[in-house]
Amino acid sequence: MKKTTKISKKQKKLRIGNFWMAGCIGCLLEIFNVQDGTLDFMDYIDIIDFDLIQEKNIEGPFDVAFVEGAITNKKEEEELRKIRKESKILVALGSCACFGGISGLKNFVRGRPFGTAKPLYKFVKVDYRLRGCPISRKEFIELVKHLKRGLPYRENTSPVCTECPLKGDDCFLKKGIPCMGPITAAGCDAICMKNGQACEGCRGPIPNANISKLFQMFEKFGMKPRDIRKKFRKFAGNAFGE
Amino acid sequence: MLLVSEMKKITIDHICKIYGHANLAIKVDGKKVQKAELEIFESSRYFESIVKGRSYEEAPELTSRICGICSTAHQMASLKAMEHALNIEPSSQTKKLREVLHMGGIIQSHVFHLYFLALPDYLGYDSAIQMSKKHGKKLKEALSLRKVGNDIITIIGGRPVHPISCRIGGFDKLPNQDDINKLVKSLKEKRKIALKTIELMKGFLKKEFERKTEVIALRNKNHSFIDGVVSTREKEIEEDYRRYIKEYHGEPKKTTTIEGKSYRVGPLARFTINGSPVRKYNKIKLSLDSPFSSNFIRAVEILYCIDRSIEILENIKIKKEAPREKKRLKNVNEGFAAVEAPRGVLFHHYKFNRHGRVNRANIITPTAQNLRSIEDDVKVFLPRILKKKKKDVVLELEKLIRAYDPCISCSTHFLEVRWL
Repeated sequence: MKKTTKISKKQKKLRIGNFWMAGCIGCLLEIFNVQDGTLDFMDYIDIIDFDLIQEKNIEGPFDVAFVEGAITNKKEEEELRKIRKESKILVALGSCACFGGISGLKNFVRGRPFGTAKPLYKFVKVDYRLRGCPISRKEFIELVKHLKRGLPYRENTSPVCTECPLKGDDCFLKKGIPCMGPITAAGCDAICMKNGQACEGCRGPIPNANISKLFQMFEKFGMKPRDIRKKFRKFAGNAFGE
Repeated sequence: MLLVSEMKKITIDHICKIYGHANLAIKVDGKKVQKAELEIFESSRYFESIVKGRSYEEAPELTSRICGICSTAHQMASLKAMEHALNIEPSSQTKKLREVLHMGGIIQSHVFHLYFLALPDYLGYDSAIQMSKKHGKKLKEALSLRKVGNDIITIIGGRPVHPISCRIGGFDKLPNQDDINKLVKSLKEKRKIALKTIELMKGFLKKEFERKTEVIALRNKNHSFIDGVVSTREKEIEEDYRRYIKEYHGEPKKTTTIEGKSYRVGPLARFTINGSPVRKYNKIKLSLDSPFSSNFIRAVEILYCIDRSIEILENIKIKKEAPREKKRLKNVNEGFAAVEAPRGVLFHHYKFNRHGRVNRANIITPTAQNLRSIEDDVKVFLPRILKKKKKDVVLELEKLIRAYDPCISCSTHFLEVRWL
């Protein structure tokens, strides 16, 4: 009896692959940090490919592939296409994979002397996104739980303000400090505001964000349009508009 | 079985269990190694160009993203460089909290390396995941030791990867005293595991191979990872680093030499220059010219970080204070700082225009400095093991490379800076 339950439990494990393109590996490390018990986590996921900690990496197929980082060259592009072919679900991990992120900042250097860094969706179909720089561990766990039960996962579409503890006069915007909370997607538990920093928009925009209104507000705070644009594209590429 | 000595070319494709993507290409002629080169196929992110034109305030946040593993080290170096430029002296509370925060980064990085990247080699496994059946307890302990490092960063910095609360001149949010007290308690509990780690790593100390090189580390009699004078074996070089260290820019990697020769940074260099951070281990027989000693030293450093953190945190009473600021940027034009990252000394150097925007930035990471030394080590080490089977040769070489705990992603991503 026991044996059979064990086997069936094993079969239910998600076979996951972790891949790394042009990024800082912070998001993959956050996956590792999830356990501060990865070993318990192993009960319901089966890491098949993670070259950071494994010598012999096994080829697919994968139930879920997590891909961190942006695509900066042909080799990465080919690898990404291969991963897509072998995976049922592909998750873009972190803002570099979702928007280009910090890796994508070189796209804005005049003349693009250093080439480009593009988000994954420019090349393949991305099923889910885990946004943020780095990702939120809580969201990662949510996503894995959903996938294991075969349920679809919905992205958070409310603004960071809904999670922000700074109400009333404590609000950064009330104080004249540029904060991107109103147009940035929540899910991070407003961790920056809790630590005394204004939102930098690392998780990209919510649907129908009123970007121009915030732009005007920042101008009133005395920021130059050039600097506002720089701020908007710091983590999310062109997601907040050109 | 084909012996390696009969082969001409060896490549180890895609070295695993290091941070990044690299190959090792070797050309052997009889018993002589003609070429040993780490081929890096990581793509560049060009941080020096990314920070250009941005405000001095943004640089610490951006450069933190160079590396998810040592993000605290990059942040500390960048903050210190900005303070150097602005001539801000942070309060002693800020300095102490930063020192502990930085040591949290060292603990988590070292534990990850020792147990999840290095240990499988020594115990004959492919990965820590396979080890979990037989050595599950060890790994659980390792995870809890690593967690205490992450907890330090979370409590003081806000989160383990890319901390948030640090700011030029101080902290945006100070940790509360209760959390600090809890932290001290768990640090004291985890001390045992650190001692066990030392014993474990001591068992793998073998006098396998030696090559004497120049070393660079921060000289500091208190063994601080965040303060000290940049020194070689004999000289103190500090900001003069550009006169001594020559940088080479290949695509995409950056490498360095001193007087035309490779040199080492990291645990070995720190031990050579400052001695053991835990006095008890000064007496231990240890070759400071063998990269294989590094893992033992890392274990000692973990213990030091725990002890030192307890010492600082037990004597701290958090008092509210705003970050020290200086708004006048008129005479600001240059800032430089060096800290000891887990893998060795890390340089951040910025120049600004009169509006306080970054004009030029130069960042030299520890792995960039170690790359040439790794290659030179391979050249000396390989002839001694040529008689072995290919599989074993590859494993030995990988062990050697991993002993440096190279972070390939840190060693690329930079572009040549022409200083005017």
